[in-house]
Amino acid sequence: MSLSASQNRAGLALIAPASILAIIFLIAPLSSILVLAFTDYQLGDRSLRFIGFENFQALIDDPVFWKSLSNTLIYSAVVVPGSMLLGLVSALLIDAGTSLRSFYRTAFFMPVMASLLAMAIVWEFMLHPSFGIVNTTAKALGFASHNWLKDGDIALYVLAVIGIWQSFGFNMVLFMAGLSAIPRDLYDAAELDGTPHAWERFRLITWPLLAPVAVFVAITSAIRSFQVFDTVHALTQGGPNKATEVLLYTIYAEGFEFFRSSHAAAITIVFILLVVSVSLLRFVSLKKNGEGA
Amino acid sequence: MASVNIRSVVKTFGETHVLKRIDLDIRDGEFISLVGPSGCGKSTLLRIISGLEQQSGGSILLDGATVDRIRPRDRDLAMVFQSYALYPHLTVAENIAVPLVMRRLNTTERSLLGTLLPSAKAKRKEIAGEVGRVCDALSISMLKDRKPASLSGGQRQRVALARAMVRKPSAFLMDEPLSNLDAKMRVQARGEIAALHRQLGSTFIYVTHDQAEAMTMSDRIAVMMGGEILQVDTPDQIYQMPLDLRVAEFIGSPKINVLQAALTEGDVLSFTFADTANNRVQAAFRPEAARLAGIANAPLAGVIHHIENLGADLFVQVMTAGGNLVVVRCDPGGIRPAIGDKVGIVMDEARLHVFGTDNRRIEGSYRLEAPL
Ligand SMILES: Nc1ncnc2c1ncn2[C@@H]1O[C@H](COP(=O)(O)OP(=O)(O)OP(=O)(O)O)[C@@H](O)[C@H]1O
Ligand SMILES: [Mg+2]
Repeated sequence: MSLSASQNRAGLALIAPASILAIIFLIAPLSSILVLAFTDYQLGDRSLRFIGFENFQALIDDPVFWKSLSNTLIYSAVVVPGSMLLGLVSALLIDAGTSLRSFYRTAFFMPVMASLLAMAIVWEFMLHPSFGIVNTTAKALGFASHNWLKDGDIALYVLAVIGIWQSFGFNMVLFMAGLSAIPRDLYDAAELDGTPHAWERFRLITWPLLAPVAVFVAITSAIRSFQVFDTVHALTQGGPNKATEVLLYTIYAEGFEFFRSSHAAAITIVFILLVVSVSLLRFVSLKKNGEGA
Repeated sequence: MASVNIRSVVKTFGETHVLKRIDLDIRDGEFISLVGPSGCGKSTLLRIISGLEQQSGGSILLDGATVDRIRPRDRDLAMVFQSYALYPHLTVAENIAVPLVMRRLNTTERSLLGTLLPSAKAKRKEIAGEVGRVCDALSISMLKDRKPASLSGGQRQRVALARAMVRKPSAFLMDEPLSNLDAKMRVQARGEIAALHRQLGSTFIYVTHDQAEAMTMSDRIAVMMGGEILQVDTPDQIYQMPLDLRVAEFIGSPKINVLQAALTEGDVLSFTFADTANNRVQAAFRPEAARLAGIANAPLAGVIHHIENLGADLFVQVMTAGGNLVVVRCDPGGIRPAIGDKVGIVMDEARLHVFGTDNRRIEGSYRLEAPL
């Protein structure tokens, strides 16, 4: 089929707004980052020089970068399953209950909407080594108290717990939407077909029908957990001794504290590759599901 | 095999009384239809029998024993849902196997690792054999590996039937299983379900709002309206001896003709309203219980308003002088009336039904008032 010239013009006119916005907000910044990553530019410089892969070579030799990358992955490995499981369980409980549904939904969704920076301060109080509620409760129950944010062995996991608290409400809402799309008839049929208990109904119906939602939730959770920054910045500044150094925080420190813009750009490229590869996973899983149906 | 007894079952949702004291005895092996207009509580009653819904009062007895405290899965009933409720992620064969897998395999054998157990393998093999036989019986063997989404409505309906059959339950509950099919498929499926009933000999409780389905398939019909059962009888009795005007109006197509009339001299029906005040009744007759005649000798007269030609029958709509539309069946082989003709209508006195103003049947034999 060939298009007439006027159809062509109309088509171009229609995609123009979207393309212009994409160029301004997406393609231009991305390509400047890409260019920057291969130069020796520092913030404030009047000229720059292309230095090939030197920035990336420097990253490979930089233990802080590796620490930052592994911290980010560990953080995600805790937050993604944690927030998914908590989101799923709370969605199932709310869905099964009849009263107070909207109350719980709103309450659990609150952390998602609240400013994380403000919430971080609350967490800082709660985790305070001497008068924080966490330690006073631990002591009252006979557990050892910790300096939660200053202990290099646990600080990252404390941040992960805060990350779970912050994001499970979002996952819960997604799971609830998925649950409401499952026809009630199926559960009635399953009861007459003899499913003995709720777990078996979950295995027979809920989980398989929720699988596409779960994949989506896993991938968005992963991408959001890669982007952890606010809590790190507010509570630990990457410390103690780089124990909570994460990719976005390293980018921030390199770019805006040490002004090594090109170095920051190289880390950004790594970060973007990470996000893109996870997004590709979603694409692959969608394709597989599409063929399976 | 099971008889089902419904004893004074009441159901309320908040303030609304959906079922008002339902009593119904269903015999072992019987095909009974619950028929009635939308919202009359048919599905609710069926769900109460299955146990999916809890009644507000009364009891359900299966084979003489009350099952009010027994879970749906343990009542040994199978249900075919209007939506078919097939598990969308399972193949046809897996769908049909679910009732057997859930009942015969224990939790360990059903688990992911348990599938490796020799006992699980043996049971699954046996189940596959039974699924195969049911599929053969309903001629859906070639669909075994397909997912429900890729099936037509008729095929899904068979799969749902197969899933209900595979366990050999003592009674089948069906909630409008044919309402998602087109008219042609429905007629075919009607015959198949009736044949299935004869072959299995189990009790079938069949919910429908389509009176034709109820008439063609059932041993007995229970006509429900507004949360009550108005009449339970064989299709013939329901058609020929409706005990309530609403039953008469609901069963039969085209609808029965209903005219306001007065009873004079005890058993003489008059359509003219000389003495309107007392002895008011509602007279009803079916289109085939009347014929067109000359105006001279007819108790009713009017002008032909419209003619529906169905090939085998000619349904002539006559607008009477009183402003009622009366439908009369004519033989298409005879003289064809024309729209606008002035005609008289003569009814068969033996097939006249008379109902009081409370809609209840008034038994008796009636004569028509001699024409003026
Ligand atoms: N869960 C419920 N809560 C409140 N009202 C209900 C509920 N379920 C059913 N009803 C009401 O009960 C009445 C009977 O419903 P039911 O589904 O039994 O009707 P039905 O005869 O099966 O109609 P249809 O032919 O449309 O399926 C309806 O008025 C309906 O609104
Ligand atoms: Mg219904």
